[in-house]
Amino acid sequence: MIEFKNLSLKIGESNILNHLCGEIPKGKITVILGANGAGKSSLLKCIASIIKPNIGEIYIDKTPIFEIKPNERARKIGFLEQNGDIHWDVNVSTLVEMGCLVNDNHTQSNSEAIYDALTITDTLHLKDKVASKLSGGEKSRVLLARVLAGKPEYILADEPLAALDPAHQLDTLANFRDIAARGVGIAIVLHDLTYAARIADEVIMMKNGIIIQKGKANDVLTPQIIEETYGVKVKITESDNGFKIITPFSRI
Amino acid sequence: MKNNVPINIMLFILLLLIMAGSLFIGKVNVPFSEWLSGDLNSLIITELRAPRTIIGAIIGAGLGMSGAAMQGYLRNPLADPGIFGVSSSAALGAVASLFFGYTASVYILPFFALGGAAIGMALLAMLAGRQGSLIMFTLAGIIISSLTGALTSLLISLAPNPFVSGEIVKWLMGALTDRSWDDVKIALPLVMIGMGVLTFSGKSLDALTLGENTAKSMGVNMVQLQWILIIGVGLCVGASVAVAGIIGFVGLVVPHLMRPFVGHKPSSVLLPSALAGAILVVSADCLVRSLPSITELRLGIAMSLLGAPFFLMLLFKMRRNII
Repeated sequence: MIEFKNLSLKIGESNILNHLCGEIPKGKITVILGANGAGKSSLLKCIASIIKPNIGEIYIDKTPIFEIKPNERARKIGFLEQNGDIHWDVNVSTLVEMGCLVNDNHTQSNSEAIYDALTITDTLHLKDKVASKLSGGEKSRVLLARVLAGKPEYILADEPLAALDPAHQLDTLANFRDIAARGVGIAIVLHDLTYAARIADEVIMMKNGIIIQKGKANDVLTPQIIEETYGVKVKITESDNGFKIITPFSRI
Repeated sequence: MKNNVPINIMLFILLLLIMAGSLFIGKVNVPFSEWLSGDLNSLIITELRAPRTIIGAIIGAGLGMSGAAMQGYLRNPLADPGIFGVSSSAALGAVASLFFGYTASVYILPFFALGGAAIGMALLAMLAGRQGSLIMFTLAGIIISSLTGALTSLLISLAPNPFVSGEIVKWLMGALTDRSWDDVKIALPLVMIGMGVLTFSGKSLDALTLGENTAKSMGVNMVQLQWILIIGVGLCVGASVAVAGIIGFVGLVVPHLMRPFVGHKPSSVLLPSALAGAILVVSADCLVRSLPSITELRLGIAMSLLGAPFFLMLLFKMRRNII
């Protein structure tokens, strides 16, 4: 379990995060929701040690994060950036292999992990293509494969569905579900409430750098709380196969 | 994953062949049988051509690897060790020694140049700050190179007599003419250490392909990486400028030439760029030496002349890809 306590981040004069407490349990999917600028990405970046919070503590499996070596931490936490960069004209398999940089040596298990990652993300057929020249959706699947190839114990994904077509969105959600079932702790920032309801075990609702509500998905994804978070009215219906559909229909 | 060992071995063999071949090239024809005879002609080989070839290979390797590391670090295919400000601050040091007439011993000018490079590196580290930020680093480099460039021009314009300013300008153009084993002794250890330091950057440079944030999440220590770059590139470039003046374009061009063969992953470009840089400088120096002119064409100028068409090619290639 990853726990964060009293996490605060200040950039210049503005308070980005204010005294956040929460956890990302193993084997579950925690969805982080909130309006633009609520601090969702900043929270993930703090946990992934990309930004150093001004105050607060982060624990990975009860160990304070500052006591964990960067290599070790990178092996435990895989971070999928929003609109991630690909800078050189490396091909897809080389790029996905970079996910194994966090592991100490190149072994058989690495090449298996790379193959698995390419297969799950439906990118095996792209493996010899130049990654930076792929379409946006293909690129984001390849970047997800990069994270999976490192076999992290926790995955932090910042809007992993943004560039995907609906079919691959559903595939990716199913992938996350499978990965969580293997015991990996997953935190995802999402904007789509229907997908959030479909995938989330736990939900963290953020607004203006504060966590306004957190808990089981069913308890948090109610019209009242959504209204309070986003300032929109929603209608909640159900799909034929029993998933919640949350549709915003007017601003307040 | 591409296996680049065969390519590296090929490049290494090619380098050895070209270095051996370069011993035959020059204004005076010395038959192979006389090379070790000990008479005057053999001195051309042992005291002039041999050190010259070795220096060419050393600085070519240092500049090539520095270029590859800089491009990987800044994730910009147009990055060059020059934008770092270290070569221009080394040049300023050398120019200062010429300006004040401290050229009595062969060690004085390189010493000044290395001093200049060291000050440049220290300034760079100070200005870039402790966050390991790429933008700060680039800005700091640009500030240092424009400041040292201006100071160099100032010294040229204030030169006590036309002879000194002529010497300075000529020196700035870079050349391997009349180098001795003393220059080898200066350049070899520094460039070797510099390249050794740069090899530690490979893994981090690869992770940077995915952007700064992702690299950090993968455990890359940006501050440490910045130090590796400053020290590694500083030693390679500082030592090169100290013994040969400013020789541009090697660091810029060579990584581009290598990528189609070894792949675009930054770590796999480092070693081939060092080998190819050495090949390029030694060959260009052979060309300069064998041109039928009264005064030798300066190597720095020859490199720039070769570099411009290369840029043109790159521009056309990029333009095709944009449309």
